[in-house]
Amino acid sequence: MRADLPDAGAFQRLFAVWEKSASAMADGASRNARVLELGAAVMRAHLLWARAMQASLEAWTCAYRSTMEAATEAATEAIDQ
Amino acid sequence: MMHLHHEWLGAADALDSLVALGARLRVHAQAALARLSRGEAPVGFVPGPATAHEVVGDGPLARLVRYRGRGPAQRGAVVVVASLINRYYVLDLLPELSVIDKLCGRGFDVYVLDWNAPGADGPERRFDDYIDGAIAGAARQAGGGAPVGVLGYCMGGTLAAMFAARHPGLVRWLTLLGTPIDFHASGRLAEWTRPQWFDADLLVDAYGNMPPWLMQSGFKLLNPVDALSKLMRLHQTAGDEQAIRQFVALESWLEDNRAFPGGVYRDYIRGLYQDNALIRGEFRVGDQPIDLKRLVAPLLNVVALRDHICAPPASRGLMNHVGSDDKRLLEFDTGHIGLTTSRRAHERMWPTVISWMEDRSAT
Repeated sequence: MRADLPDAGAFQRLFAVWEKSASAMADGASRNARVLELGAAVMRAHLLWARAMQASLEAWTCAYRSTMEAATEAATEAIDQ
Repeated sequence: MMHLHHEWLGAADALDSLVALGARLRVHAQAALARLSRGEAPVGFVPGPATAHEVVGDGPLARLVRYRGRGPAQRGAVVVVASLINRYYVLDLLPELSVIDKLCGRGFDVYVLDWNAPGADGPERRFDDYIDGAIAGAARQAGGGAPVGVLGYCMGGTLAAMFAARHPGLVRWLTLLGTPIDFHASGRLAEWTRPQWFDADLLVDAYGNMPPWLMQSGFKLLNPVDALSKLMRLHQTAGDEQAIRQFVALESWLEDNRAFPGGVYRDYIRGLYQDNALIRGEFRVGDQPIDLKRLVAPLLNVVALRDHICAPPASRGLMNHVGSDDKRLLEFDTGHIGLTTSRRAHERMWPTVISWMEDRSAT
């Protein structure tokens, strides 16, 4: 059982042409100042969002941790008494 | 600078390892489907390093792995320094495509630094921790006080070159593969990391360490068509068992990465990519600038002519800045990873490289 395409040779040639032109387009885009500017803006927005998420998580765990610590301390004191 | 999240970084490293395992399974499944569609049996599981080895050291930054030399000739020790973000076993991918096994077969005792994931300490790590700590320690242990051969690949080559300049007495010879030194000549990565586009401080503040998925997405953007081309090639070569094993081994390795330690990443981007300070003699490690003229060991600098990660001029730039009298530039028509994994490189390039090493090693 082979799953070759009906005319694999023609498809491969077509794919090779597409591959070459798509690579050239991608290469051109990656050197374009506007594309770079857009990429940098997206990256910056993502990093600012990631940093904000980290800060929220940290604040939330801090509050949770201090509540847990206070509860543990109270429980220890109660046991001691 | 904010340091919000260090305690989470160990969990992030564990997650990276799980993702790498998942990717390895996915690659095997893809290859199995391609083979089955041709009526062929799937290839066996490809686990990672191909050659027998032992762990001889375990530090906070790396494990030191030893591959024992074979044969009558004793050529001495070689320390392999791989990139901090990739696993070293690209040099020991499959039995028939193993640089390390080739070296062992010629009597070299090979020691490899297998970098640990950086974890919570990553944002505080600096270049000197790696150069004066892990690499110098490995060289002393491998050579027992005598100088050793050093083989550096990619960013590991940059570390190895700095090490050779800082510790000339520990280095018998230095071989570099696809190693960026003149970073402003390193093509699109240099362009993308210009200060106006890229803020390494913000990245380290946000993530602590540079996560592998973010690093890899940058590399994939260098050749976005490649993902589809690989699937096409997988289908085309599905009938060839050896080619499929190579596909599985290489693709699994490509997905098996470590986070880049945040503190080193900050210096790497700002000092090397943005300021190009190493080639200008102004890159500081510890409290001293690296003077490449102090790199006096025999040098073989191997450049891949189709390297899109380290463009050839970025490596060639080293030749005029070192103090070595015995230096050679070897250029080979392949890509960055092809230097260690292509059959052509193994057949035509590596015999020359190993012969160069033998001529400069103890017998």
